[in-house]
Amino acid sequence: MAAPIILTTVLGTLARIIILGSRYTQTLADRIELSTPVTSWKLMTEGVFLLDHGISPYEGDNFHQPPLLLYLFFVIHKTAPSLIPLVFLFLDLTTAFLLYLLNPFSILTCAAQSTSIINNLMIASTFLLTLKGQRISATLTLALASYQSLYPVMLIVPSAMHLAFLKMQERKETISYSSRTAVSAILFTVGSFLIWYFILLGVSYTMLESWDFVRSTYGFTLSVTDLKPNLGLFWYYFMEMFEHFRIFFLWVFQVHAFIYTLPLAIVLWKCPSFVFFCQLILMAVFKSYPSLGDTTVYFALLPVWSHAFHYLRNGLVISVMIVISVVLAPVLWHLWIYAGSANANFLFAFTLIYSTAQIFLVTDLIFAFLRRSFSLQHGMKALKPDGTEKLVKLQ
Amino acid sequence: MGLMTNPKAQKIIEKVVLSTYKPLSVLLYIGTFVAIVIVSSSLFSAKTYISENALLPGLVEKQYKSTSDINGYANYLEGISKTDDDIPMAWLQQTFEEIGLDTYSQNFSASHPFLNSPEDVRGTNVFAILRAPRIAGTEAVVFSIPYRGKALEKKMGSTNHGIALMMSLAKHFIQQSYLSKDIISDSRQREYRGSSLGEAYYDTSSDFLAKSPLHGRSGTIMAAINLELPGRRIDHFDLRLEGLNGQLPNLDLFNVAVKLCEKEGVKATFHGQGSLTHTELRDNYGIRYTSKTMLSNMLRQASGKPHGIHGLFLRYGIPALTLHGIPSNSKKGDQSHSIGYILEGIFRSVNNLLERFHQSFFFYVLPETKKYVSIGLYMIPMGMLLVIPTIQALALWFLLGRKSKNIDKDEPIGEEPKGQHHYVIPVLIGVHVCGLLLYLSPEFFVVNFSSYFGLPPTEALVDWVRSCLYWYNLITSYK
Repeated sequence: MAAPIILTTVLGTLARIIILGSRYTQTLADRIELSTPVTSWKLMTEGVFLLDHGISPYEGDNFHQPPLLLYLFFVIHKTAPSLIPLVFLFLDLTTAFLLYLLNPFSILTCAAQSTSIINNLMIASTFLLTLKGQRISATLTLALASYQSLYPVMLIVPSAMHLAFLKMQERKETISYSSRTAVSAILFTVGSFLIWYFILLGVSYTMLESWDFVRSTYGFTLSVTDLKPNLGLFWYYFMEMFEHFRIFFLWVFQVHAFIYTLPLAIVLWKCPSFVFFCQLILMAVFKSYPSLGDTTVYFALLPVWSHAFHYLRNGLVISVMIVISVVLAPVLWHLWIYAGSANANFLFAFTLIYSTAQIFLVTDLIFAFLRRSFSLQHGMKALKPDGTEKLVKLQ
Repeated sequence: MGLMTNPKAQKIIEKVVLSTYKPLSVLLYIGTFVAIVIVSSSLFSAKTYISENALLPGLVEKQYKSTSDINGYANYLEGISKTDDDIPMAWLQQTFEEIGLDTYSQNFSASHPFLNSPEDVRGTNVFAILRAPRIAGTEAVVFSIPYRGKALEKKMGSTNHGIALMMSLAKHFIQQSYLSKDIISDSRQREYRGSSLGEAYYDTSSDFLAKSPLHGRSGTIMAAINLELPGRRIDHFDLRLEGLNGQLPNLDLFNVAVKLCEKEGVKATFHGQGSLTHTELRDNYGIRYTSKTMLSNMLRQASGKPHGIHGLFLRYGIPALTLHGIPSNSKKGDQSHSIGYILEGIFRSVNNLLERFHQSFFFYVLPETKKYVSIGLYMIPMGMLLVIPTIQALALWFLLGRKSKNIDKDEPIGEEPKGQHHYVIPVLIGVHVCGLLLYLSPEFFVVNFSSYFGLPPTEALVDWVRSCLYWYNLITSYK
């Protein structure tokens, strides 16, 4: 058992070192699939440069990453700039140790030095620590993830549910989220998350002595002012739409990104970790600046639910859609931007396929999960009175 | 999603695919070829039209007057190119400067990625910028002509008369007040092996092409016209569109050229095919010509090789085409005037542009000069061809599912059948490793081993490909 693990570790590390040391890092860092305005390494260096010259990076409309991250890289840049690729390597390998190693998306994201690596690490740690029942550290990592990119805020719901779930199991109570134990556990989790979160914001404020960064980071993520194409759904709609509808659709899109928390938590209340997982997929689709890096965490967690794969209906369609969109999106980007013979619709068609594939994946997984629970309750074959097999439909 | 989520519907799809995929594949394969031919026929192809309203080809009064200088220039160049291989740089620069253009030159040397070519490819490009009076040098049109010299002229025909015409036209344009785009006159040496103006202009770096810096620039290049004119008189113009990797210019540019050729009474052809009359098209044999033209168009695109040095502009998003003059048999008469009108007209049309070429098609194939087959139409046969691997793969997928169901009949229900797909992983990795080795092999083989066999590097490459094919045949037949 140890041999494959060592082999994948060596291969995964080697692949990252080779690409990080090659001349392709710059090309990768410029790819829209890997770097977004909120994770781009190029913009991070810009922020570090501005900070170095005593200008607040948050005054302009260029830098959208949170202050603690900025100061982290500022310090590394000041003391040992040659260590920066190693920092990314180390962070990604830590995530890899928790989750994945040979996923090409994660290797490329690491090579592009996208700061979504850090976000992935935080989310993966949150998942691990939540499962282990470590409330304080889980909420800290979750606060760090939310502090960096806002959307993980909604992961507090499954996290709190799971921690309450563990508590109830520990006390051998029947599972009910309205019991005293559950309510107090949930309140503790949310409270500890909020305390961590406000500490992070407070530290950022004392460092900069201004709240400018809130507008530049969360304000930017929510108001989507940079419409540079990416793999998400926002840029095209907001580019095409009349300006006076902007506020309305901004609300529609952003509420959309957050709203699934509630129905998922209600339907899948028995399995909060599955809610956590579904949220990760939905986040990778509906966030304002998604990239390939966002898919890596949930791809790695996919096998956790392999017991439900039996009921997947569209595995082939989904995998083909993802492969096609990932291969063809760069081609159409070239046709649009460099060759000038295509237009934005071409690229958008493929980002749409990419998003649709992920939505198929999540709906199909939820169906498979529920169908399996149905089978566990009613037996593998639901039979009609006359002995023929019943058709189970998801309505 | 209804179709995909309903297990009953899925069963039906499975049944239909498994029972029909074999005959369907054969049928689609044949159907593709039939469809390609049919698509080229006049029933389906549409008539070309000028989509961009600003172009207005041929609407203005012709003003160009062929001067007697044109013969002087041409005679001088012909004399030089009979004896010499090199571009007469000093003379070109002097002449352009006398006309009043800003003249620059650029040296380059090209090398093969891994062969040490015995002949060193060096050359010079001379280009001259006519600064337009109505704009501050923000937009430009390129007028490019390859200069061939003694050796290449024998192989590819002369272009000297084109350069003479270019000078004469520059003389005309510099007196006009209407120009709102700079005209860059550009004479290139060494055809494809030299540096293209696109590379020089946008200063893209290449490991295999060293070039001196460009000292003068104009604005964004909106279009490029490449002229290959063999003499005073031509039989017809063959218009060449296909660029590097099969890229095509905007169809509007082609339409303008065809329209102006027609207006001046010079026959225009595309892959040797002129426009067909209505009766010729309706005739049952019309499809013979149209399908032949369309297929040679597609074949040229598939080869990836540009069909003239205009092809190098296309990769920079600059619409460009080549007007290739086919020499006339009769020596009588002088067409400099009408050819001059055609070029004047093209430049004036492009000069009218307010936006970049974007209105018309970028993806098309042409059955003749005045008909086009748009992407919506030629994608149908293409789609038919792609359906074949798709249904084959689907059938394999369904068969795999059936097999696993049969195997696991005795196992407890609900167990995921295991170990079904794992055997493909070593094959997959093996194929990728083979691909990588093949990709690296020509360079490795030629650089290291060609001397052992006493072969010159260029031949060794061909032999390498041959031996690869031989081994491939051997391996596949063994199975």
